[in-house]
Amino acid sequence: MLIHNANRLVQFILRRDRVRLFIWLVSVIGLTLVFSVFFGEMFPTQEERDIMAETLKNPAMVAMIGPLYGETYTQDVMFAHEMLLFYITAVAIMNILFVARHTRKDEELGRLEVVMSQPVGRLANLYSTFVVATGINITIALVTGVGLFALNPQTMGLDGSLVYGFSLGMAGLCYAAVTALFAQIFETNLGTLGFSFAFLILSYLVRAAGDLSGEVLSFLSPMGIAFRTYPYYKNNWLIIVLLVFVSLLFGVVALYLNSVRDHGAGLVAAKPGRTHATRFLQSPLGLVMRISRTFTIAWLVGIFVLGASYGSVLGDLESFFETNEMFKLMLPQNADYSMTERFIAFIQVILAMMGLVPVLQLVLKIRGEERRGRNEHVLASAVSRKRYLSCYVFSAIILAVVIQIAATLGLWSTGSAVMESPLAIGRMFVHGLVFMPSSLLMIGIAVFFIGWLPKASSFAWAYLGYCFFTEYMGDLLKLPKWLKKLTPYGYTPKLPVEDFEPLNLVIITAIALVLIAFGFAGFSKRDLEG
Amino acid sequence: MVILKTEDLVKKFGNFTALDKVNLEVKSGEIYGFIGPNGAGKTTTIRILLGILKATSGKASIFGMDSWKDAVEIHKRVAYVPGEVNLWSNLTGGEVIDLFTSLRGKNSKTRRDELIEMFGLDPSKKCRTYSKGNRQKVALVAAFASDADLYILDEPTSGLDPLMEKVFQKCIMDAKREGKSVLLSSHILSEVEKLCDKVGIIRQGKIIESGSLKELRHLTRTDIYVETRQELTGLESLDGVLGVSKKDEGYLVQIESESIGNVMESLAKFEIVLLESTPITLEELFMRHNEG
Ligand SMILES: Nc1ncnc2c1ncn2[C@@H]1O[C@H](COP(=O)(O)OP(=O)(O)O)[C@@H](O)[C@H]1O
Ligand SMILES: [Mg+2]
Repeated sequence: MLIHNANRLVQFILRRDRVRLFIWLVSVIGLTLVFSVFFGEMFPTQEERDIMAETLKNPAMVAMIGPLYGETYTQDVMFAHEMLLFYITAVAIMNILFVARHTRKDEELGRLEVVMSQPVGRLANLYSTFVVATGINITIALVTGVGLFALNPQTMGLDGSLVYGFSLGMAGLCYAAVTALFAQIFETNLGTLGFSFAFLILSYLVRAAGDLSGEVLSFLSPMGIAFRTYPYYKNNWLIIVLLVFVSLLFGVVALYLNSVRDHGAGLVAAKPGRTHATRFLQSPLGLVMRISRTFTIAWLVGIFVLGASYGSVLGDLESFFETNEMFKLMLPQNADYSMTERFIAFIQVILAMMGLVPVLQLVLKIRGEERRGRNEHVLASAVSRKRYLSCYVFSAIILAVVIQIAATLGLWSTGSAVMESPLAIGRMFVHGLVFMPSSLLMIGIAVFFIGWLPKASSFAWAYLGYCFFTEYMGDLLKLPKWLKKLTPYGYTPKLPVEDFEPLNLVIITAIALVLIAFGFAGFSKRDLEG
Repeated sequence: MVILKTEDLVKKFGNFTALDKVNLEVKSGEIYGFIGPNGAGKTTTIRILLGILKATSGKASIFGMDSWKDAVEIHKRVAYVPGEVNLWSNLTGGEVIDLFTSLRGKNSKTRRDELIEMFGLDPSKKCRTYSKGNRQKVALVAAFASDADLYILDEPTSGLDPLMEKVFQKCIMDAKREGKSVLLSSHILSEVEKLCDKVGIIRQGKIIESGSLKELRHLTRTDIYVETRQELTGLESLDGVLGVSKKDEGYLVQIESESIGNVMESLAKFEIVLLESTPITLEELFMRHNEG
C-alpha cells in the first residue's frame, strides 16, 4: 500500500518536532490572544477607531493590510482587519519551513532514505507530513477561535472568532500544500524553500494589487482568499471551504508527482553552477561579499519596504497623534515641530537600528566562519589576519551606509506620495547619516569581541537589543533617562527635532575607532579555532 | 637545506598539554610522514607551523622564517590541505579551487584542469552536495595546482577511495620529482610507508621515534601466514623469528624485517602452498616500542 505505516511516521514526525512545533504554536496563538486583549485598551472609544479607520483607507495602507470592511469599525472588525494578513504570513512561514524540512530537506540529507528502506509505503512520508500539517493548522484554528471568544466575550463573537481562526489555519494549510508541491519539483531544499517563499511574497503582492483594483486578482492568492471571509462581519464559511479545496488540490498533485518521480530527483534538475570563479571572487574581499550576498540583498529590500510602509502613514499623522496620548509619548518632545516631523525623526532612529542587524551579521560572520573551520583556508594562504578582518569591517561599513540610504529612500518614496508638501530628500539623507557614528560604534564592539572574547561575541546582539528597547519603548514605559544614556543613540541628535551636536558624534567615532583598533590587535594575537 | 623545523615545541590548552617538546625537521626535497593515532597532536603541530595557533614555548619555522611572525611570507610558498575540509555550501567546487589558488598566488590553469580530470571531480556542483572525499579532492586540486615549495597535508586521504589514493600518490611523486618538500600526516603507517623518505611518530604530544624508514626497521616486523606441504619444524630456532603459532591449516610467523630473506629461504624447503603477509600496524608498532 502506498501509505503503509503512515501512522507510525506521523508519531515520528511529532516526536522529532515536538519542541519546534510547541514553540511555534505558543508564539502564534499566544501573541494573537494577548494582542486581542491589548487592542481593546489601545483604542477604547469608537471615535478613536473611526480616526484609525480614516488613516487605513489610504491606498498604501490597503496594499499593506487589506481593504477596510464592515459598516462601523468596531473593535472585533478592527482586530481581524489589521491582524489577519500579518498572522497568515507568520503561519505560512511556519508551514513552509515545516513541510520543506520533512520532505525535500530530509531527502537531500539522506535521512529520508533510511526511513524509506523500512516497510513504509512510497507516499507514506509525504502523506504523514500532510496529516501533521493539517493537525497543526486545525489546532491553530480552533484554539485561536475559541481563545479569542473566551478572552473577549463582550466584544468578539464565537462565530466570528472561529471564522478568524479557520481563515488563519486553512490559509496556512494552502501554503503547506504549495510547499509540498515545490518539494516534488525542485531537487534541493534551497530551491524548494526559495520558490515557496517567493510564492508567499508574490501572493502578498498579488493580493495587494487585487485589493487596490477590484477583487479578481485577490482570489489568485491564498491570503487574498482568506481575507474575504470578513471575520466578525460576513463570517463567510464558504470561503473556508474554498481554501480547504485549494489545499486538497495542491496536495493531491504533490502526492501524484511524488509517486511518479525517483527518490532524490526532482522534476526540474538543479542546473550546473560555474566551473570557474569570476575575477571578483578571487580575492578575500570578493569572498566576503559573495558569502554575505544573499542576506545583504534580502535586508536591503526588507529595510526599503519597512521604510516605505512607515512612509505610507505620514499623510494622516496629525489627527492620529493628536487623539492618541500613548503614541505621542514615543516621539521626541519639541513643540516647535509638527507631529509628522517628530514622527519622521523617531522612525529614522528605528530604521537605523534595524539596519544594523545585517551589518552586525556581516562583521560577526568572520566568527561563524572560524567556528565552521573555514577561515583556515584563507589564513593559511598569503592573506594576513588583519587583512582578512579588514575585509569584513570594510564591507560592514559600506553596508551600514547603503542600508541607511535604502531605508531613507523607502521612507521618502511613499511619504512624498501621501503628503501634501513633498519631503526634502537631501535633508532626510543627512538626518539618517547622523547615525553612522553609532553604527561604527556597534561594528567596533563586535570587532572588539571578535579579537578578545570570541566566545562572547553575541554580546553585540544583546547590546543592539538594549539600544532598540531603550529608544523604542524607553519613553513609553517612562524608564529612567540614564538608561538611554548608556547607548550611542542617547547622544545622537534626532534631527531636525533635537539640536545638532557635532562633538558627540566625534567622540562616538573616536571610541568606535579605538575599539576597532583593539579588536584588530586581539585578532592578530590569539589562537584561531580553525 | 632545512625547510621546516620545530624545536622543543610545547602547546598547552589550559592545563592540558597537547604538545610536549616536539622536534621535527624536514629537509629540502624530502617527503616526511608525520604519524600518530587520533588526538596525538598532529593537527596542533601543523596549525602552529602555519601560524594559526601560537606556541606556548619552543620554536617553529618554515624556510628559516618564524611561523608566527612571518606567516604571510611563509604562506606564499606553502600549500595546505586541512584535515577537516569545510567549504562554503553555495559556492561550486570550481569556484573554490580558483579562489584558493589565487589567494595563494602562483598557480597553473592547465595543471588545475588536468588535476580535476585526474581526481574525477565535477567542478560545477555546489559544495553542499559534495561528500567528505569530494571536499578533500577540492582542497587537494587547489593545493597541487598551486606552485608551492612545501605541501602540508593533514590526513589528506582519509575520505578517498583506493583508486583516488593512487592518484594522490602520483601527485606526491610528481611533486617530489620537481624537488618540492611534503609534510604528510596520517594515522595509518602503511599508507605513508610507500611514499615517505622519513617518518616521525608522535603519541600523546611526544615524538617517540623519528628517522628514515631504514633506521626504523628495528621497530617494524612482518607477520606472515604460511601453509606448507611438509610439516614445519624447527622454525623457532631460526635467527630473526620472533614467534610461531599454529593457526588453521598453517602457521602464523612473526619475523624481524631485517631477517626476512633468511627465513624465506628456510621456509622454501618445506614446499610453500600458501603465503600471506600482513604489514605491521601502528598499534603493533607502539606495542613493540613499549617492549623495546
Ligand atoms: N582548541 C583546543 N582546545 C583544547 N584541546 C584541544 C584543542 N585542539 C586540540 N586539542 C586536544 O589536543 C590533542 C591533540 O589534538 P590534534 O592535534 O587534533 O590531534 P591529531 O590531529 O593528531 O588527531 C587532542 O587531545 C585534542 O583533544
Ligand atoms: Mg588531526
